[in-house]
Amino acid sequence: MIILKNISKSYGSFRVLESINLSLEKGMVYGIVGENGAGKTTLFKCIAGLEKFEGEITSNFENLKNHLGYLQADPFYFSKITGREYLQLICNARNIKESEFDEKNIFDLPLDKYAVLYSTGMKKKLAITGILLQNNDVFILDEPFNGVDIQSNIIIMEIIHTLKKLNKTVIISSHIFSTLNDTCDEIHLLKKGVFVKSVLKDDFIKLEQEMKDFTIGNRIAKLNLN
Amino acid sequence: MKHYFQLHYKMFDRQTANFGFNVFFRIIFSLAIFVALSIFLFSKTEFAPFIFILISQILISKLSEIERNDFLKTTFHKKEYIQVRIIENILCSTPFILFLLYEFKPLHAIGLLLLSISISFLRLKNGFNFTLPTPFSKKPFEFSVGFRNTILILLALYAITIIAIYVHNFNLGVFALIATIYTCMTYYSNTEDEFFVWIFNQNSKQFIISKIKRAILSSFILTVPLTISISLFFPTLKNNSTGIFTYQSLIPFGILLLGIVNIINAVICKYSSFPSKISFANNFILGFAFLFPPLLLFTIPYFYSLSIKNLKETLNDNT
Repeated sequence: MIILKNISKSYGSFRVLESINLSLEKGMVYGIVGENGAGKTTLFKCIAGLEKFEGEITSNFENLKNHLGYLQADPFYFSKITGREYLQLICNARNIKESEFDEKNIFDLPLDKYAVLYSTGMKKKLAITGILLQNNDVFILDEPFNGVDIQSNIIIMEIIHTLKKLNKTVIISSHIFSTLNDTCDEIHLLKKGVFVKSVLKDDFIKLEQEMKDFTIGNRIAKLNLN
Repeated sequence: MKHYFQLHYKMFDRQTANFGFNVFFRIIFSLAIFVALSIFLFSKTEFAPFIFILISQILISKLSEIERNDFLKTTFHKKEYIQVRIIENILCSTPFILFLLYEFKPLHAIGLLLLSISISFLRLKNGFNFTLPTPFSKKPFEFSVGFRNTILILLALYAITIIAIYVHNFNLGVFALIATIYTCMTYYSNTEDEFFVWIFNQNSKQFIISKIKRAILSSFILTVPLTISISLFFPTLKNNSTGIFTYQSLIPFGILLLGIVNIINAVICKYSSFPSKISFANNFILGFAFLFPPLLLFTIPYFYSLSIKNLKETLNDNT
């Protein structure tokens, strides 16, 4: 179990997160939704320990980051490193003796090509493969469906279902509500660094409608489209 | 076109500002290093002008990369594009041309100028089309990336070693060995994204030690063949005045040992400002220690303690 207690984060005078409280259980999938700049990635970085913050994060693990697989929204790759070498690096970092990369290449990536030459979706799929090979207990997936083709989206959704069955904890952010609807147990709406709403599966449709009404409002009407 | 070069100057100025130093100071410092290395090269071998031309053209060829040139082509009219490329290449080759003139090598200087201008019309692929295999793939990333980025330089240095053996020029061989060691050091000049340190299941001490071990083993792969070759082909040196033989073959091993210490210095220097880029001051200390090795006795403990301190946060190390 991971407990976030009063997590706040500021960049200078700009408050990005304000008193975030959240309990993350094993075998549960959590969705975090919010507009661009709402603080989702900052929250993920705080959980991962990549950002300093006020408040406290406790877990059952001695060092949470060593059990955490973090899929960044925009994964970084070195200029001349192949997909296979990237996976090797990720495994080496956690002392995992893995060599069957071809067998575990479920997205059929060209592992012997330079990763930097991959398309956006392929880069994301390589990063997902990497964190899956690490046998993590907790997964943070920042926009896992962005730029990924429809077939791979189906595979990613199935991976999330499998992780849930394996009693892993999964936290996802996505702008595609339907993907969260299909995978999450809970969704938290983040707005200007504050959780303004938290809903369980039964109320997802209602939340989606509320978000649509709020987001669209009368913006389209202003265009006077004929 | 004027705006383009002003923009480049601004970018250079901003990069310099990140180091906390005045742009003019950095230019003067870079030129001083360039002159010092050039004097060293010209004092060691008669092939220096050719090596000089080769190095300059490898550096200038970076400006001919396809992506970069496609951007320039879409930004400028055809005539302006050609002018920009020629001016860029002449500007970059100017220090080399001036030094060749200083060394009374006018023909080489003219040759270099003409070569630089003609290369302006080339559009080169960024690196090779194919994935270059490396002996470092099992333990990425510094050496696998560095090896691919500097393959032409490494090939040139290996070729220089063969020439040194062929023409019985011990100093030239030593130059190639030192340059190879320096090339390995440059693999640690860029600080990686914090994520690639964060992923490691190690405390800061274990992390640094494993990085050092990897650097030593990997650099051996590139430097030991040169060291052994030079040793084998230049076993002894006879002093003509005294008639005494000295074991010249030991010198390359001494250089290798010193080189390895310098590579360790480069590894820990990389993390001395982490997660920020290596500070200018630390870069200066690293370079100075390379030229004045006794300084390594002080820089290694200094960089090591800074690295351990800086890595603790990213690795969530409470030890």
